[in-house]
Amino acid sequence: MDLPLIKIINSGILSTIQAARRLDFQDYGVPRAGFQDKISAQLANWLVGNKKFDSLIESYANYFEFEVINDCSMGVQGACSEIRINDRLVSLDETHHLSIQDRIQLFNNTHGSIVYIAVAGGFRVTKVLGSTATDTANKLGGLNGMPLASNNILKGSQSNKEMETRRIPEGLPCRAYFAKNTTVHVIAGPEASLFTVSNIETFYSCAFVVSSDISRVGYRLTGHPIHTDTHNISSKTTFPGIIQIPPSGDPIILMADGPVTGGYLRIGVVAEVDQPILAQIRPGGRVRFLHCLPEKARLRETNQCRWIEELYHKKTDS
Amino acid sequence: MAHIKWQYLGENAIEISDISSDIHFQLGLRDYLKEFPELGIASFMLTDKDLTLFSEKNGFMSVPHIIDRVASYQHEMEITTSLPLSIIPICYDEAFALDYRILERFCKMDYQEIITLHLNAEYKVAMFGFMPGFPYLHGLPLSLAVPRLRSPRKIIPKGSVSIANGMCGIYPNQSPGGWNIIGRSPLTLFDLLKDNAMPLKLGQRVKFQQISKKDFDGFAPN
Repeated sequence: MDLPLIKIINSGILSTIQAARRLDFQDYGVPRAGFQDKISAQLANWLVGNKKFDSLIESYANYFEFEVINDCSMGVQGACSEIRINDRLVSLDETHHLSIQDRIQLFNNTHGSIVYIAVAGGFRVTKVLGSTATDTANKLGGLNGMPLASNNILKGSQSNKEMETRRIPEGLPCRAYFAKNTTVHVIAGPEASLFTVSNIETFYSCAFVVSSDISRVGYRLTGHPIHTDTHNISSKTTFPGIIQIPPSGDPIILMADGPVTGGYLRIGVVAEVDQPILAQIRPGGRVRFLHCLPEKARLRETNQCRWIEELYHKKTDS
Repeated sequence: MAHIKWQYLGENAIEISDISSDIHFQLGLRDYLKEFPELGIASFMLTDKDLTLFSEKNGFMSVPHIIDRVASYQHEMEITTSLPLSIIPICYDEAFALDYRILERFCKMDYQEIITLHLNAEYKVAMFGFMPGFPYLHGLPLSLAVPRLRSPRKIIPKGSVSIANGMCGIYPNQSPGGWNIIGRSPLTLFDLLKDNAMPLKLGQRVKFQQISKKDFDGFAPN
């Protein structure tokens, strides 16, 4: 049975319900949506015994606050430096058991952009076109297609049994995601050949600055504009990770809610394995691109999936 | 074997380019490839002249096999499918045709002639993109091939029928956009509250049918 679990007091810059990607309607123009940083999201879900893609809160926030309406268990992962429950500082990397009227405050004053908040059983929202994920560009999914706002009440399922306490094991590579600057692997895009040698050199040798123009649709990078003679092509397939060069020359990296087609040159594609790292870079941080072959990118992705899989197969860690 | 142009699009997709601008050829090729699950293709995306193939996680990339299949389809090319004709009501009232003056100037015709040309043509849904349910229609008369607006509009009303890049499109919802607006349709092309959220399908034939402003205002929701 669904019951109200939490009431949002402060929702930060942009908070949405996210879950598995919406994959089956791309050829009808519907973006994928879903987690921007699937590593942190899956770890948050693991902390509360959920499945990897259960619905949780994704928040771009330096501060997020909510009140508990019905007892539930919570897992927080991603860009969070401090969790307070009723003003009491608690550990970051373990399950928290919350009681009615508890006030939860999440702070982030160090690194990373995005925090994930999962509750045991997942939040209950209606599936739209096969997924509960919020597509902010088209107002689909999530809570009536909208970002979360203060006073929103989120529902979940009644938990009958006491949830175990889980801890994120030491030594996992997840904490490495929240660097100020990063290097991401890039597979050459179909229009890479339309750029000059010096364009390509600039692209792979400079550190681009993440601008304040970042959203779930795309991140704009500045500092080293890439000027070309060709700007527009007929609409081609696009998806998260595609790096486009618009007439201004400042690269745009499409993120989870990016459109399914675009008419700018696609200079490269960020390897899927590095998309979580990229999503977490804060405005002002720097990004370098490292050329990579598709085979190598797939291998790295397989290795990343492996440690998450192993964690999920471990029954308990308490 | 015909020469097939293809490229990686990230590590989990390949794009076969310049295959044919005939949507029925592309749909035929897509359906043909679906018959070979061993190729590991999870999903497809069709754009103007390209077919993008997305792999199952760590499954695909027997790229040579895929390319062989694509080539063999070309040899067996046969187009049989044709979806039924869909009639889309359109009102060309000047209150809706936000860019009729640009069209007149560019096409060197008066608006009535433009309307006649637009109405007489038969279109095909060649792809969806830009936003959910936005159809790119092939079949626009060459004399109406007006380029995109120099600077896009911040708000284009829902249902606006538009022209750019040699194609006709319909904005299923209010949106920013850079196409020239020729009229407006009262039809809803993307409605999640309905079982059939998107009434137009890829490859479908489309004709426009003129309605008056009065008919537009009194149009019963589809």
